[in-house]
Parts: sequence; structure tokens; C-alpha cells
Amino acid sequence: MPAVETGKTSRFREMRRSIIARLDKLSEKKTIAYSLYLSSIIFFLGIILLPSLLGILLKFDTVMNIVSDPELLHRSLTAVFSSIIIAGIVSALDVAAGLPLAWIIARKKYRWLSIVDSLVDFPLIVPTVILGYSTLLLWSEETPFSIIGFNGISPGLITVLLLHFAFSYPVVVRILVGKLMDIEATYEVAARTLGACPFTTARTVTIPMLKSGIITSLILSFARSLSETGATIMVAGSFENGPVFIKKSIDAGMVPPMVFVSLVLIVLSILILAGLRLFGFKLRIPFRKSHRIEAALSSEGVTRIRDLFAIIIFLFLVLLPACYMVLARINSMLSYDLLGKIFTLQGPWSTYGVSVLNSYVIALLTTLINVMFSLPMATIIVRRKLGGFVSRILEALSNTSIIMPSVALGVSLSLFWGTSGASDFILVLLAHLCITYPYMVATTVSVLEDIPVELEEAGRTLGGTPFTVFRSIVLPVAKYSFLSGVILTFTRSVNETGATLAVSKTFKTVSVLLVEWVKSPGMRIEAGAGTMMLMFLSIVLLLIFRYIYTKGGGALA
Amino acid sequence: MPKVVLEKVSKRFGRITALDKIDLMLDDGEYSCILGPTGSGKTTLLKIIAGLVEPDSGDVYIDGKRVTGTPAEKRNAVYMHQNYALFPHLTVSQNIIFGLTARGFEEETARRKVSEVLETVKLGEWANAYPRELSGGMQQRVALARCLATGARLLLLDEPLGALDARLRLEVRRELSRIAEELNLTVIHVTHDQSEALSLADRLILMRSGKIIQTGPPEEVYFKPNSVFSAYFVGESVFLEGVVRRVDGRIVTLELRNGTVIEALSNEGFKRGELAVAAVRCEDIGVGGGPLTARLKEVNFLGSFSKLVFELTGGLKITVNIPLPRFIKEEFRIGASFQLSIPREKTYLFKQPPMGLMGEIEAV
Ligand SMILES: Nc1ncnc2c1ncn2[C@@H]1O[C@H](COP(=O)(O)OP(=O)(O)O)[C@@H](O)[C@H]1O
Ligand SMILES: [Mg+2]
Repeated sequence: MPAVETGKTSRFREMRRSIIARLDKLSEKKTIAYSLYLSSIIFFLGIILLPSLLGILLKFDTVMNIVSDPELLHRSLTAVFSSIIIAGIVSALDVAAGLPLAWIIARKKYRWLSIVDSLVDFPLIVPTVILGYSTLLLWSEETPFSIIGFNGISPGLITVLLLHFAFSYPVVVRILVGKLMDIEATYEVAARTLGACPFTTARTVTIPMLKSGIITSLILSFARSLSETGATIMVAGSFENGPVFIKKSIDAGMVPPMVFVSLVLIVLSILILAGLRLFGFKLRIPFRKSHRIEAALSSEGVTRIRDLFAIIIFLFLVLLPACYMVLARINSMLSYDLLGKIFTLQGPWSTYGVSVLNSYVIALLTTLINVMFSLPMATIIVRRKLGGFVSRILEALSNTSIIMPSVALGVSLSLFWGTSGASDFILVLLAHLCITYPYMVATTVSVLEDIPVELEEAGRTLGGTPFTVFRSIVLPVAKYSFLSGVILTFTRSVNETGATLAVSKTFKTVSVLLVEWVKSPGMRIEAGAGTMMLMFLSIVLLLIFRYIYTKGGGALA
Repeated sequence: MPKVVLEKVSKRFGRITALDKIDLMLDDGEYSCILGPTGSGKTTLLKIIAGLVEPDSGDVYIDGKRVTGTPAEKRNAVYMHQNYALFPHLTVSQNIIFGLTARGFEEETARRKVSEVLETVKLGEWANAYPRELSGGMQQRVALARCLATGARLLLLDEPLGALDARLRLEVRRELSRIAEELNLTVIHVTHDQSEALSLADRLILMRSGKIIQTGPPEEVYFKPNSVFSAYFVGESVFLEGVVRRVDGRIVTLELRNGTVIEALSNEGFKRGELAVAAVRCEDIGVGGGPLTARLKEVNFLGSFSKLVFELTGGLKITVNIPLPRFIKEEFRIGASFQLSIPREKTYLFKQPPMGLMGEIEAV
């Protein structure tokens, strides 16, 4: 019994306590655990995997059309090859440039770092198509660097690389920051009990623990780079990667390239990612070398330069492209009496208000549902609840929907749900679930992987039910990593356009609306202002959310 | 009433058989030590009793109740992990309170219990420290306190002293037996350190490759090893392989490889011509006056006793431990020749193990 208390707080606590007690009871039953696993698998197969692949499965026979046409085959394979190369380069650069920034944010205690920390999420909110447009303006069409004699690069491979780097970099930093924060809390204990010195600690605990974060980062940025379509087309010029080729052929009324290229991309990247998982974990960082590198990297001068470099890369290659469209329009926006129009919801701004609301509702629901279903899934994968083989298969498949070129995904989803008669709202929700699911699963998997099983065992043997152990040990120990999964899911839902457009004509999210505005010449100013507004709102929302989350010590604790 | 009973418990991990049809019966209030080399299945056995690992077959009973399939949190047993597994995000007292609230204690009672157990392990001032701020020894005590606080009467300790330095280990060893005595706990303590096991245990359980080789009071295991492995793993022995040449009642005569002949007592019914292994404790071998001629090869002074290595003709090595009072440095010159005696009443004779002597010892 609690100490005598009066008023609402005590009733609230009473209620909370009884809910927890009930969940404790439930979590003790094995049947409950297994029905959770089962429902998460059904959700995965029926809501995520099958709908994503349907377009390909239905048109599978058309693959022969490509294979029998040497010219088309050559063009397809070249496009696939370009995609894989770009994804490889981009994800490697992401980690190389992202790790130092993540380290600064997680380890150094300056006050202004919390601002940098939130700025990292900033580009995540920008609809990717807008980012593409902005990239095009910044590096090519309206480059501000002409004052130093740089006249812009013509759209092509380089601009595609710049774009992909810009949209995947924040994902990597977000994951690594979360991981580093959690490691900070855990590593010393494990190491001290084993009697390790600090350096050995770094080598044996911090780095291996970070490894799962690095692998997750690589997977997500690699897959995202493979699948992005809308923005890539904007900056690609005549250059073709997989998705661009698919989009061009679909626009020309040809379906076979979509089936063929998507299939090859999926198969190749599942192989690559599985290899990464398999060998990435076995890879050891050689002691001597890492020691020398660490020592070198730790010297004062090098640290400064490295930190400065990391921040410059972030500012110029990520943050600037993310807001350049806004910056380029700032003059005209100022003369437009923006605030007055926005806040009185005049003209297009009433549509805007509704679409922002739509986006947030969808993002919120998407995040909640995905958290709910990805937790049991991640448990199956990491704790091998259904055997090692099932684990590996599920993990590989769970990434499929971000490897799929988003045009192909859109086509598949509209084929699958198109005739169901579901409302546009539901269709958009289903599409967003597909797209964000891998983010949540991948981050949750890496969270669970890093929690020593001993801690869970200790919790159980001391008398905690599975639910109590999850609530008061697993979640608090991994709260930052978990937070990064939630943020990635939420922001990805807000900035998604391709699949949303494919499944819905009437229900508009803010990203879809902004893309429409960018494309109509008369609405350029509104597009800039709308993007700015969205960034602002989302940052505020994220800050509030993060504050509550970290103060509350994790969602349930 | 027996407190813990295992019936034909088996566990496999893929191709590895971690436990092979284990039968075990432990009494209430008994302090047992499971002794065995790394990989012999000690941890798996403990986790099966704790409910953290499910056996493939067989049953576990605690206090007369069948608990196979009962989840860990519902068993009146608490397992202490080798690395302590302290919760890094919780302070010492929060770590301890976890088990109390999880087991449904009221807040007041829980708080009182925390200070009680912290008193028991002498960590009163550290209640609000985080695990990372504590030394290894202190973390060990917190882990112990956390287990004690739950009130479980069965304590399962997995190499609880393994991560401590030698001096601390002796100290904590004494603490452990004091606490177990005071609280009248049933303890199963896993270790691979024989002196730890010999000094703490009411009952010694010797394990090897997923099987229990011998169990009984430490003196019994020490003085009546039932196998080459027992004689090898508990105490220190010299092993001599040979062929049985004569059996005369209990007296068995063994001819060693180099032709030397020794005698041993056995009721095992050895036959002439059979292969056998004799084991003698290193401290039971007499130096000066005996039938075996040997040359001194090595002298290791170890404080209270010295370890001397002799070589018989044919290269056979014999290690002898001599207590300090009998060790006179000038007498034991390397290269000098000595007569050794192997008392037949202190020689254990075993049938040749199926994998040979080295197989039996090295497969460890
Ligand atoms: N979870 C597991 N997965 C696979 N093999 C295991 C697992 N746990 C233990 N083993 C294997 O079972 C055997 C016994 O292990 P363990 O009980 O930890 O031995 P001990 O504690 O005596 O060192 C070892 O060969 C070990 O490799
Ligand atoms: Mg062990």
C-alpha cells in the first residue's frame, strides 16, 4: 500500500499501479508471449511484406521481357550497379562523417550541443522531395557560392551523391548518438567487474557495442539510398540509378523494368546486408592499430580539427541543403506578410493547416503501431525465440520495404489496397507503416542486442515478471537508442511523399502539399514558407517530446 | 526434507551436451559447492535450478514442489550472476529494492530490508552510489545483498569470488559462510577453485562434461576419490600407469612402464595383466628411505611447503610436496639421488580410463 495520499495523484497512481499489476500478470503467461510473437509476425507478413511485394509478385512473368532484350538488360543492370555503388559510398561516408559528430554530441558537455542535437533532426523533417529541390538550387541552379567563383555543378552523379548524403546523414547521427548515450550508462559496470582498464573498456565494450549501432546505421542509410526516388529524379539530370530508371519506364508505360530492377535490388541488397551482419559482427578491430588510431585521434590538436571538420560537414553538406530553399526565398517571404496569412489561415494556408494536422496524426499513429509490433518482432530476432534460422530470415525480410524503390513500393501498395475500399486515411496509414517499419525494427533490434542478457536474467531471478523487467530495466537502459528509433519513424512518416501519393488522391499530408506547391510556379513563396513552418513546428514538437521522454525516464518507467 | 532435487536433468545446446541426465539431492540448509572445469555445465545446472534455462528433459523440485516450467520469478531461489549483473542505471539501494517491489513488498518494509541487508554486507554508506562508482569487491557485495534481500531461501552463486583478487577472495569466503550460517540458507556455490570448494562446502559436487562424477562431503571426496578425474581435480596427485602383475587379496602389485614395481590396496577386483592407474597424493610420498631411486630435478619453494620434482629411471616424473619443517635446503641439491617410498595404504588404484590417462585429465 502506498503511504496515505489524497487527491488525484494518488488515484492516478493507484490506477497506474493496477494497470501495471495486470500487465505483470499477463506477461507471466507463456501463451501471451507466444500470441504476441504470432501477431507481430502476422502483422509483418500481412501488412508490411506482402503488400510491399505484391506489385512485383503479380507481374513476375514480365521479367523475361527484360532478360531477353540485351539492350534493356544492359540498361537495367547499369542502373542497379549505380544504385549499389552510390548506396555503398553514401553509407560509408555517412558513418565516417557521422561518428565524430555523434561523439561530440554524446560526450562533450557544452550547452550549445543540445541545439546541435536538435538541429540534427531538422533535415529529417524536410520532405525528401523538397530536399532534392533545395539541393538542386544550392549546388546547381542558384548556387550562392558563385561569389567565390563556383558556378555550380550540372545535375548528375555528384548531385545525387550530395543529396543522398544529406538525407541519410541525420539518420546515422541520430542512431549513433542514442547508442553512445546508452553505452555511457552501461559500460563502466561491465568493465569494472571484469577488472578492465579504461582503454580496454573502450576496446572491449564501447566499440563492440557501438558496432551494432554502426551496422544498423549502415543498413538504414544503404537501404534508404537504394530506394529514394522522387528527390533523386530532381537532381539526377541524365544520370540513371535503379529507381530513376524505374520511374522513367513507368512514365513511359513500361512495367517490366520495375519488376526486374526491384527484384535484383532486393536480392542483391539482402545478400549485402546479410553479409554485413554476418561479417560485421565477427570483424574485430585490431588492438594495436586501434590503439594507435585512438591515441592519435585523442590528441588535443587533432581532436579540435576533427570536431571542427565534423561540424563544418554537417553545416554545409546537410543543414544548408535542408534549409536552402527557405533561405533562397527569405526576401520574397518577408515582403509577403507571411505570418499574418499563416495564422489567419487565409487562402492556401487553411489547406496547409489541415495537412499539417493530417501528417502529425498519421505520424503519431504510425509510430505507436510500429512500436507495438516491432518490439515482439525484435525480441524474436534477437533472443532467437523461434530459433536462429527464423530469426535470420525475419531480420533480412524486415528490411525489404526500405530497399524497395519507393515508386515500386507505391505501385505495389496501390495494387494491394486499391480495391479494398478502405478510406484514403487508412491507405496512407498502411503505406506509412510499411515505410517506417524497418526503422523501428532495426533500431529496436540493435537496442536489444546491446542489453546484456544477464541484466534480464538478474531481473527475473530477483522476482520481476517479464513486463516489469522490460519496463524497469530494458527500457531505461536503452532509452536513448529507443528514442532515436521513435524519432526516425516519426520524421520519416512526416517527410514521406512517394508512396503517399501513390495510394491516396484526396487525403493530403503536408509533404504532399509542399511538393505540389513547389511544382506549381505560382506557389514558390508559399512552398518556402510552408517548409519553414513545418520545420519549426516539428522541431518544437520533438523538443517537447524529448523533454518528456528523458525526464520520465523512458515511456513506461 | 530435501530442499533441491534434480531427476535425470538433461540439456543440449545444438551439438553440445551441457548436462547429461543429472540426478542430485541437496538437503535443507546445506552449503554445496559445484566444482568442475570450465565448460563442464556448472552454470547451466545452476540456471536450470533458477528457472533461467529450461531443461530438455528431467525434473527439478524445490522444497518438494515440482518447479519444472515455473518461471524464474516464481521460484523461491535466486541466482547471482558471475559478473554480478548490477543494473547500471540504478543506485545500490534501488538495485536492492528492485527485487523487493517485484516480489510485492510494501514500500516501508522494502526500505527497512534494504538497510538491513546493506548492514549485513557492510555497505551502509554506499546506498546512493551507482554500481560504476564501486570497486569489484563492493559490487560483489551489492549483488549478494540484492539476492539476500529477496528473502529467497535458496541462493545460487555462480563463481561469486571469481572476479576478486586472492586476498579479498579469502575474506569474502569467510563472509559467505557466516551469512549462510546466520540466515540458515541453502546455498549452491559454483567454482572451479578447489580450495574454495574444500573450505566452504558441506557437500562437494564434482562435475565433468555435463556429468556428476562424485558427490559427498569434501573429506570423503578428497580421501576416497572414485575416479582418476576426482583424484586429479581435488587435491594434487601423481599418476602412475602400469600393468597389474600380481593380486594377493587386497594387495595389488603394479609394474610401471620403466620396470619399477609398486603396491596398492584395492577391492576393485583387478586381474593379472590388466592396465591400471595408481594415484598418490604429492604430500604422501616419502623422501629418504624407500624402494624407488630418483634424481632431484627441480625445487620450488612455496612458503609453507616446497614442491620437489624427481625423475625416476626412464624419465618418469614424480612431484612431491614437503612441508616446511622437513625442508632443509642444503639437503635437497639438484641432481642428487634420493630414495622415494609410495605407501601402499595411501595409493588409489583405478582401472585404466577408456580414453587413457591423459584423455581423462586433458579432456578437461
Ligand atoms: N546459451 C548457450 N548456447 C550454446 N551453448 C551453450 C550455452 N550455454 C552454455 N553452452 C555450452 O554448454 C557447455 C556448458 O556450459 P556452462 O554451463 O556455461 O559451463 P561452466 O559454467 O561449467 O563453465 C559449454 O560447452 C558451453 O559452451
Ligand atoms: Mg560458468
